[in-house]
Amino acid sequence: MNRLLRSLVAMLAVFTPLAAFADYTWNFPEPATPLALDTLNVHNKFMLITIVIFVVVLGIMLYSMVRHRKSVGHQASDFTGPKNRKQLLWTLLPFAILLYIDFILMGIPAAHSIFMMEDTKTNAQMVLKITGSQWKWQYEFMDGDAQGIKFVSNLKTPDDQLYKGAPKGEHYLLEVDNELVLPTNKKIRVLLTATDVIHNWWVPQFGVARDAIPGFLRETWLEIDKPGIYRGQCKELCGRGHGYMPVVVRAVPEEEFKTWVVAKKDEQQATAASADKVWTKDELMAKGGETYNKVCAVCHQPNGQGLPPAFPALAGSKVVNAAVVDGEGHLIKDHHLDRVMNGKAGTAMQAFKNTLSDAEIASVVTYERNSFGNAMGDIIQPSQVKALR
Amino acid sequence: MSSGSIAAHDHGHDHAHHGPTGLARWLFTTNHKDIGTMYLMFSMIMFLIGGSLILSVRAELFQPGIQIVQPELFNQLIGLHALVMIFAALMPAATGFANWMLPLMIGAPDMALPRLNNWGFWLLPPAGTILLMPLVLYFFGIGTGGADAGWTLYPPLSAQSGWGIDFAILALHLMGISSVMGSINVVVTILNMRAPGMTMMKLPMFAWGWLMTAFLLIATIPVLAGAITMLLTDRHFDTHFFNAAGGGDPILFQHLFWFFGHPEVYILLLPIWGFIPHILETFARKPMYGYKAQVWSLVCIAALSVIVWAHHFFTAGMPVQALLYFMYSTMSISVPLAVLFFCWIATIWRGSMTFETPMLFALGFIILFGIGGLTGLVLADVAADAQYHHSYFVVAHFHYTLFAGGIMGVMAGVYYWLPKMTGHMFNEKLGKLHFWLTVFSFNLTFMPQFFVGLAGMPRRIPDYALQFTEFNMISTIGAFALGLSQLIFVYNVVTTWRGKGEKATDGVWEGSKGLEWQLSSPPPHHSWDPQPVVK
Amino acid sequence: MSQHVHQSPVRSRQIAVVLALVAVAFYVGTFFFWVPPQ
Repeated sequence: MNRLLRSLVAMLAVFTPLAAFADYTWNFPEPATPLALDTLNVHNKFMLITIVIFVVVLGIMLYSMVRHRKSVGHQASDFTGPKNRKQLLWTLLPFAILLYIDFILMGIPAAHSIFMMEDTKTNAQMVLKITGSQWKWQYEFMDGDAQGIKFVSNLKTPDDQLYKGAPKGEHYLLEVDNELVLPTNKKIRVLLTATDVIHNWWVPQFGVARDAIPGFLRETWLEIDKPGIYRGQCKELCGRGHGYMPVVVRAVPEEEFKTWVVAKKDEQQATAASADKVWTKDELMAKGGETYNKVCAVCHQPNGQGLPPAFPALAGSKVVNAAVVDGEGHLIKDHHLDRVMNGKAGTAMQAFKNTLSDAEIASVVTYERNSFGNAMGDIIQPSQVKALR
Repeated sequence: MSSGSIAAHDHGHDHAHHGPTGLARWLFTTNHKDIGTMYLMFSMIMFLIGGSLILSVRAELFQPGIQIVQPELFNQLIGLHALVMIFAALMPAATGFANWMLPLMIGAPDMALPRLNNWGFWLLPPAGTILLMPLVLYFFGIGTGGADAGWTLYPPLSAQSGWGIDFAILALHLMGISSVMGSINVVVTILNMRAPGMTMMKLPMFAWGWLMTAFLLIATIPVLAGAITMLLTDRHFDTHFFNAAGGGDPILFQHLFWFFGHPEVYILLLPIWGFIPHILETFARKPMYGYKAQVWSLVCIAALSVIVWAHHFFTAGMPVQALLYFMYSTMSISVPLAVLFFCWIATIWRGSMTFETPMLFALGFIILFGIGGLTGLVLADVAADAQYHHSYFVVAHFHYTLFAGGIMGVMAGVYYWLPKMTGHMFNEKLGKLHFWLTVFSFNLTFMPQFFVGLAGMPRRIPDYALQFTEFNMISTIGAFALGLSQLIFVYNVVTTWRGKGEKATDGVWEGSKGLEWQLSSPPPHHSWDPQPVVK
Repeated sequence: MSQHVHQSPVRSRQIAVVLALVAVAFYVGTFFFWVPPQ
């Protein structure tokens, strides 16, 4: 009896850790779309069914382990199968129940959920294109008032919090410089693609996750029930920055969305206009440093030493310390400006002309040529970059 | 079932073992017992290495922020952990048991193709070295490190990564060839070398399990080999199989990989489902229930496993018909699997059980693998899968199936057969202690991962948002406890092997059945020559 | 080993060759799943 008791206590100890966690989360976060709500309900129902199955079967096993043991004198039986028709039917009953659970109880709602999830076009009121890159998301509104708005969303958590143990902000790893703003209560058709490797755009409260595949378009849809800030992450391993490309969506009522659209368009025009003016070296160095630390330092390091051989050093680099355009003003292939604008095929160095503005490219190249011990002395104007696209 | 009488008593040709000794013995042996021993030792060493890799990962994940493992190294550690555990720990362990026990169980003097057997083993140590060498060199500042695109090696990321991927591809080719050679050997041995009177429906269940495993390996390892060959040529010879810019399709790789990958998880489990009934009937002192039903279940599971692969990448996007098909076919595997569970429980029901260490592990396997299997059913739901896919929920699911199922199953087999193989009983108290510590710390490690996945934590990330902290801390503590507990197992196995512990009888366990228990413990170096006759 | 084995070694090798050919067929067949660009 003592040994039995000890065994049972040991088994309970296996599951005891769970009881202590009163206010930890046990389930999906609060759903904010019809898809998320459906998934939550399906999940709860299915988990309940599986837990019941588990408890019943475990109960039968524990009963047997207690009663059918040699130490209490139980004699072993010798049956190896059902002996008569009645026993055979009792044997088949659990499997009939399982088939019902699988294909009717779980299977039919599961099919409905699939149809709902895949119907991206019916009553869609706007189209959003999301592009995944290493290691940021780019959003582009394809129609309606917001058409033409296109921007990149980078992780904004500072390096000292990530790597140097500085106290972490509330939204550590889940905060960005440019949030995606979307209207509530509108069905949004989402197109996904990528520029380099496969990424996956996921916002748990939306119940939506879909691969972003280079060279292909994938679709899903969103209809956000209520205003709020919703955070998610990339869900497909995409290199060293995989854990550092969050999604932040600010869902707002229609009116507020319209206001944001206007402000964002103004901001974009200002950026484009800045490409035409002439920048001073100081302005270029300042913006270049900011851009470098946000975009380039993750691989090439804040001190420009890189992590060779995967990420070359910029300090003393032959690519950096050379001319960028030839006598006729064309980009010299594989030299500094070409490398930044057009990337290097087969590596993690992407074509930044797709995600950085003229001013950002011009300034970051200027910054690199005049930092880390490099002293080329020259500057690049955003207008030059614009002309070379 | 196959407990037969013997027409000619096996004299044991062990009176003086002629043949090489020392290193030459092990390098050139064609003896199934020696080769089985080498597979098992290799497996145990690689298990400890694979465990160390992931303990570094769990140490980093103890708290938010990057403390000891930079993201580049992190990605190498997680991919190599999986490759080592799957290809260098679990598969060699199963092959080690096949080598040791199949000939003994079917009354054969050795495997059908003994030289092929030797080659099959000796491919593995070089393959393991090749796999891990880039990681080791990385610590000395040489090169870009080990494969860092996950064990699944998806392009375009894997096409872009450093030469750790090339080393992994070579290692996989070598390990794959080893598996196929071993599988051919198993099929031929089972079909051609059974003792007279042992019909297929008298085959020990372990042989059925391995027969199915072998067929799956022969069919699917070549597909993996094809896929990684294409990846290699994309990387170095300007092909565009998986490069969209060249007209290729990255998702083709996922189809090919998982066509191998899904059967692979059953490859890891079928041998264990084969010998668990042996352990249950031994310690319940009752013949196994539903032999025919279990055989047909194993066949069905193997057949179904080949047609469900796309459930690993529902979020990659595919037509609705495909989603529906793969969902329903995946769910249908639950039926033959339920048959197995039913038969296992019906075996112990109304038995006369004792709970020595092998039985503890077998019963623990049933319960904890059951949790893994049930969460797999939930994952099959396509719409909900958007939330589970590539989150820690999946990580927990496959550790319940592959650790509680695979590794604990292997441990059940080790404890069950160690006295037969070594001639000595292991330390039963330490065995029980190992069991309870393993079960407790395993659940402490992986149960929180279900919840942190539901809460929104993706997998394969070196750092995480603050709300995931508590569960990660618990999981890390559990992981270190789990790792340390395995040292008890290593100590027990090694000391027993070296002769500690009371001498084992032929039958070892009171309720043991099967031809292997009619031989001495340990059996003679050459056994079942001539073959017994089975009634 | 002694000659009391139930079936002949020739049959062993025959089965082994067939299985090896099956494996090779699956390997080669894998490449045929790549559809060349139009």
